[in-house]
Amino acid sequence: MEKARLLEFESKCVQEEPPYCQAACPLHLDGRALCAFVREGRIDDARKLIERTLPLPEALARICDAPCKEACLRRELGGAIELGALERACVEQGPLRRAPLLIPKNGKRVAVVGGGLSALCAASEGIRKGYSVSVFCAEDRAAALTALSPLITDEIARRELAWLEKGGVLFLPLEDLPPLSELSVRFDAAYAGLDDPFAACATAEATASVNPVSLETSLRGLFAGGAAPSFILRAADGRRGMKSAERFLQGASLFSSREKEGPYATRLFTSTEGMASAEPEAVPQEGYSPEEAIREAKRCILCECMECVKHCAYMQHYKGYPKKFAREIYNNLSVIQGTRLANGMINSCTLCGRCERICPNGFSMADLCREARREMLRQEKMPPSAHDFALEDMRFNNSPRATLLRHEPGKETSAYLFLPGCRLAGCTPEQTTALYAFLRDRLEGGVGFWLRCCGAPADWAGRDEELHREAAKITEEWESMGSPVVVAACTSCLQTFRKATPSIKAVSLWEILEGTELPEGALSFERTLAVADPCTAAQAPEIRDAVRNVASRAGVRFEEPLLSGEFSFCCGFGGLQESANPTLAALSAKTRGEESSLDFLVYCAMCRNLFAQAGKPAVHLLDILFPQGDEDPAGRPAIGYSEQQENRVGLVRALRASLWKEEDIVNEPHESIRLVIPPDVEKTLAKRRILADTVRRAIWSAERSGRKMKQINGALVASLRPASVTYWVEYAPKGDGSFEVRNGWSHRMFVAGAAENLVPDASEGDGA
Amino acid sequence: MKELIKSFEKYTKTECGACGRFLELQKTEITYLGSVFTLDLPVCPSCGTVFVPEELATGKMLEVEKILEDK
Ligand code: SF4
Ligand code: SF4
Ligand SMILES: [Zn+2]
Repeated sequence: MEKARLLEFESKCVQEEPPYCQAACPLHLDGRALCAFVREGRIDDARKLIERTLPLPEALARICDAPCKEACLRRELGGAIELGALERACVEQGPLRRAPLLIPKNGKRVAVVGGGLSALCAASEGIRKGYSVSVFCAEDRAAALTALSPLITDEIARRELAWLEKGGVLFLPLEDLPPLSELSVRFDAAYAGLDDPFAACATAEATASVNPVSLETSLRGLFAGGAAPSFILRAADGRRGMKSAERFLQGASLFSSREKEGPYATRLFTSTEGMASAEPEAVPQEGYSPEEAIREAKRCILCECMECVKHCAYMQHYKGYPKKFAREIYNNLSVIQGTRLANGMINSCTLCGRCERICPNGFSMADLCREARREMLRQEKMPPSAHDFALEDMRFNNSPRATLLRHEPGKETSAYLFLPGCRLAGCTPEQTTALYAFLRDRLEGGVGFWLRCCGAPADWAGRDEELHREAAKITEEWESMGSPVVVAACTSCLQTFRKATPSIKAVSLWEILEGTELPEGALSFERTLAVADPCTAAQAPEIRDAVRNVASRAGVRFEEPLLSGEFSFCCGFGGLQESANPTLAALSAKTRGEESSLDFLVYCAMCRNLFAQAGKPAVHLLDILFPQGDEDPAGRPAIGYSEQQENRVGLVRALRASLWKEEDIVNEPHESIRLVIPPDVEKTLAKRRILADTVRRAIWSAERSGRKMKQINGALVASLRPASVTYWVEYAPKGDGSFEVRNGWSHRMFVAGAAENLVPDASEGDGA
Repeated sequence: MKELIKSFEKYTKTECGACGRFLELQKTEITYLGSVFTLDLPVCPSCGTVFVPEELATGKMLEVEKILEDK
């Protein structure tokens, strides 16, 4: 990834921008951090923050006129946070550390004219920069500070001055100030604090006009400010003047990028939606007590964006926000030698695109992760285990056994082509058959049947070449049918078609159902459900409307969950999250499930499956329109990968035999192996992603070649390496010719002699 | 790791189905993503067929696979 691309991504995320108060503060005190400390009772840390930020912390914390209140987001929700009073409470409740400065002097001599607030702040900034600072002021130095407010006692003023002196500030009498014309002989730069009438008078000829940005005067190297009535602005001028002196001494521009030195408007976005209003804690004459300060600090919103992170199980899991993720991903892609810490993060995003829709600046984690996946593939640094299983499944679903393309029985042309999609066909084959019969009955002009995978897994994996190969085949198959209107039951298929093969006219099944009479015998469903849109319908309002229309007409009562429509999340299947990070996918489904206490009404077979796995009852709208059996469809268990593959193969066979009277169907030899799999073994196999088809192949080739291990307990072990994974199956032949499967495990490492001796199935199949 | 390999001795009671001989622990080469390791694994002394035990595949091997995948 190019650095410029990273910056482009980064600049869209405003989460790291300062809070409203900090941006508005002329000295940029972080009011959010201050409130966070105070509400936790960490007053020491709060004081450290004040000491670090304010040039004269003890004085300024007591007298700041808090212009930040204008910008505070609490303003409209009860009243701005009393930051001024909070600062005062902090410095009154305990001593500042007043640690001596450990900054070495760099030999530059700077004069400060005047003893007012502005001049003393400039002096404080000057010694922090390593300058040797001489302040020319009246003899009673404390008086200039105590005159500002009764809150600054003589003692406080003396402490401030003592700290400056300890830091190397030299206080000189007014009389010693050289004439302006000679200032540059004795000093490298100078600042005049115009809040001291003496300083204003002594520099009058040069400070008649002062540039508001650089505080330059008509005398080279002399800067001046501090004439404003606001104390904090006077202090800020002192800081600005000393910055100008620094730039002047470095020969740098006095004007470039100084926009954020004074108050400015932050780019931060903070939503206050649904936030209750809260009255400010009244500030008593004597200032806040510790309890009052805590109460007031608790009103702070602790402004941040995090809009996209709220509710997103993925981003919450990886603990951050897009700007941070972008940096981590960039670093990950730039690793030459070492560990790529963000691989898992890159491969686990569901690519649902919700972040982009919710972000005030349209940051898309999906784009970022997709680009990163592509780049990892180019660099040959994509961990094989991330997406292999899903891609193998896709290849299986596009193998001859699991695909079918036919015109309607008895017809030579198709006006429509029904594409049920892998998941619907694999999870509910009978329903798919019933739905196809219904479509043939309701639609004129012939409805062809097309079972294949749309290529979404390749797209999600970032494998553009594979996606384009599939797209070319898809176009060819579609054209061979006379370019009919594709009726897709799955919104992911539809999304992939629109992206990869936009010339194909494809509509959603739901739009078709919206325009037809509904089937007879639909289930009358009593409970009220919550419609859970699939993420792939988030940008298809017409489909969402059609579904709601069809559901209403079918008598289903439903409500909207917390986040629906364009703000729907993914169930955890999308983007191959389930392949790369099954635990996170389960969490995604669970998090979505919590959006409503009602059972879900879904219209995506993948969503249904993931919700079922996560224990969230979910009814597919097709379960209501085309009920299968009379048990409650919300209680149906999830269908595993093995079963889905077998169901698809079974569906192809059944349809070919029943509708097209094709009897020439040859079984592959290993399919004759009959398995008995106890439930606990089935669970282990599913968890380890070992498909029943693989088990059959392994046993079949072991039995045929005789290459197997015989264990001490009599059980046999077969192994097989069809592609990049070696599978081991422990089994025992049963008397009736079937095989009991006892265990299974796998590894990706290549062990010479482990599996190559076993002849893999020679016939056509997946991945071999 | 030593203990794990020692535990493989129990597989010397496992028999090669093709040759009928008991497995013996032998140095075996394992490769993944360009890295090469050698490990004592149960092997048929006659035909050289290697057996990878479950505890190795789902334990140490998986761990190392993950590490190498993130390199
Ligand atoms: S919505 Fe997310 S990406 Fe956008 S600015 Fe906020 S935190 Fe950053
Ligand atoms: S609510 Fe808190 S963080 Fe937000 S602007 Fe006000 S003081 Fe700052
Ligand atoms: Zn042998």
